[in-house]
Amino acid sequence: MIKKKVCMLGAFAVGKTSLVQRFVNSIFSVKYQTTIGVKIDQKMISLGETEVNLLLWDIHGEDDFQKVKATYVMGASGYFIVMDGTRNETYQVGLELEKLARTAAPQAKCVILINKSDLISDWEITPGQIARLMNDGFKVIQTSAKDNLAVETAFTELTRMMIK
Amino acid sequence: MTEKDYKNNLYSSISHGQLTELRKAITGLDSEDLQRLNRLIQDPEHFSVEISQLLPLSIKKMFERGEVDEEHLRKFVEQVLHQSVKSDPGVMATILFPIMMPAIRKAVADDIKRMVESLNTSLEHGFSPKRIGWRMQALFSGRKYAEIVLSNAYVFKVSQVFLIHRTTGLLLNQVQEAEIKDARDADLVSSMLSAIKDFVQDSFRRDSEENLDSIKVGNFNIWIEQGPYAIIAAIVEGNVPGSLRLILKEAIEAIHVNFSYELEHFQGNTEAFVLKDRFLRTCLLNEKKEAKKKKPLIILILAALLLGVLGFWTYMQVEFKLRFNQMLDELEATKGVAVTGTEKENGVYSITGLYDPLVGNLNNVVKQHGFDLHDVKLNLEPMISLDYDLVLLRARRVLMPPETIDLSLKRDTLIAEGAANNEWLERAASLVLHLPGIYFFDITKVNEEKIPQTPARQQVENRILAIENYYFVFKINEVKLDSLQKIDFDILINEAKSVLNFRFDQDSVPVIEVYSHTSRNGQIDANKNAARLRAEKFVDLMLHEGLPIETLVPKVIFVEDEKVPFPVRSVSFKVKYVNPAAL
Repeated sequence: MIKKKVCMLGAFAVGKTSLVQRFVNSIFSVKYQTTIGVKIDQKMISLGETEVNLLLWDIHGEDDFQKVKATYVMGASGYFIVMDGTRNETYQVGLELEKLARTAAPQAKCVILINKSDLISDWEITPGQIARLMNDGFKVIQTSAKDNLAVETAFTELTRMMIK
Repeated sequence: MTEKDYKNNLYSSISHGQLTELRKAITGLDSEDLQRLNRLIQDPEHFSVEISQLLPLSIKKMFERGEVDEEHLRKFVEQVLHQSVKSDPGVMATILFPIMMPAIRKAVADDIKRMVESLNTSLEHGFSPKRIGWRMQALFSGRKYAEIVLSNAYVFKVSQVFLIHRTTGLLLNQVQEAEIKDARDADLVSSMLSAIKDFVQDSFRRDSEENLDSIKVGNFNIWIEQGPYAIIAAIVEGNVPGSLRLILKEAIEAIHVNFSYELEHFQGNTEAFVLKDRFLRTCLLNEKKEAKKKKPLIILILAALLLGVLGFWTYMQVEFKLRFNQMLDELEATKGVAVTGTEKENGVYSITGLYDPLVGNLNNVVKQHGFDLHDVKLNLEPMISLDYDLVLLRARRVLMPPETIDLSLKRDTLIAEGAANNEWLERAASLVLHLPGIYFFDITKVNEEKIPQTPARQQVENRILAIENYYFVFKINEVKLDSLQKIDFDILINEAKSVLNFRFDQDSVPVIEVYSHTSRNGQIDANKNAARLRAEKFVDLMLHEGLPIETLVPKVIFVEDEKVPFPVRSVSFKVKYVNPAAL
């Protein structure tokens, strides 16, 4: 069995915890609870003959008061940069966190998640911005933890990239 | 003109519209505004409602401008609270009740828990011999008792050991004691520990060499030992000896030596670490409480008592045997005694054999060695010993030589030397050949003429002494003289007749009391009856020899009442002088 450390990074309230809960426990709560520090979950995922135990480090959202510590990301085999499609400011925060993660864990694989696709009509992040990300070589997936859209796909894709 | 008249004239000269315009021009307010202001002034309740909407904002602004600060408000609130409590404490108590009660309950529960723990600790540490020893050690060494306890009571358990990859925080392997069945969350614990370690190091690091080395969670301690690529975390309960730290260090060093390549190139595959877990298992240590091994005090006391009783019983047995053997040796060494055997029946030792009554009461020998006559019984049959000393003793008793005569024995010849009168010589010559062991009587060395005749009174007194020295021992329920006893009996009768024929004065006559000796051992009445019959039968024997019946008095006496006891089942004699009227 292979174990991999995966970090969830993004601005506050983009839906990192909701994505983990949806993926691990298949639940979603509209009640928002901010994450303090880090919360760790695990989920076994099978890719063909390979079983991978994902240790999901749900790291607190970054804002003006709470900066993500690089030490949390060190040793990660992969990480998600989560953005909130309805809040354009999360785009920039996400890019900054991606830089931090790339420095702390240069070998780690990255997938960018544009979350809250159930509210796509209210999105502030534009298709152009998404296209720029893809042009920069990022794997970008639009997800909705609320409607369980592409959540499983996202985790499976990152796992596939990590064990490749 | 009054003011009212003036106003009426003014209002009538100006139209309503003009007045409104004039009012608006002066105040800037229309009639609705004025009406609202009027209502505010007229209606205090409405005014207070309006003001209340503005007050929070006003206070906020005042705070922002620094016109009011927390210190002003605090004093105000404190005064109000003080006044409220002073006027009616019940109100404040009611307000605080929902907050205070849970807090009080928690505080009390915590205190009780602490007290119980303290009591348990005191009981556990207070009264055992070991703990008392520790207290003495603390007293004399000047160290705190707690230090002594901790240094002596290493009661701890390492329940789980994690090997964690340092960079990724992933669990490489873990071992736990057999009791822990469910260790599914070990991966999470491992990652969380790693996160905590990262957080602490990131937040409080002063020196890159400083690491988090322990975390305390309730009764558990997590001891962490870090290597370049991996970390060992041990979950420990209880008082842990410092030596565990060294064990953890050695384990992490050994792991780095053995898995250096795997650790450096770790990609998430933990198989290599899981297969070889012996390094982690060396860290699963525990030391159980000695108290569990403690034997109940009552068992120790009982065992000690049993041992004591057994030791005492053994000592008594050995000591009894030694004394018994000493007594037997003494009996066997006594001339005139022949021990033929010993046996024990129902806890009573019985010594069988033969003895010459001349040797005296052998029960005294038994008593002198500290034995009770109920425990050691002498079943010795009487005999006449031909031992040199006893033959001579018997001759002296029977012949009763005067002080001027010295008797000696040479083989089977009794030799008399000194001076004696003819009367004694005649009597001696008539008696001596009846004595066993004596076949010749040599009186060639006796000077007859020079000795004055012994007074009659003195002769009688000597005979009385001789009579009182005789005693005859019989078998149970039998008064039959054997051949040897018959010799003594004949001598006794001769002496008795001589004594009974003599009176010292006219007021008294001699009588012979015949004592039959028995014991209170067994059935007293039966013993007494048997003794009485024995005395009467012996009296009959004496009557048969011609002694007058009125001079013989049969009596029973218990050996326990005698100063110098005669043997049980014996008959002895006492000569007394009584008033003739009493006969």
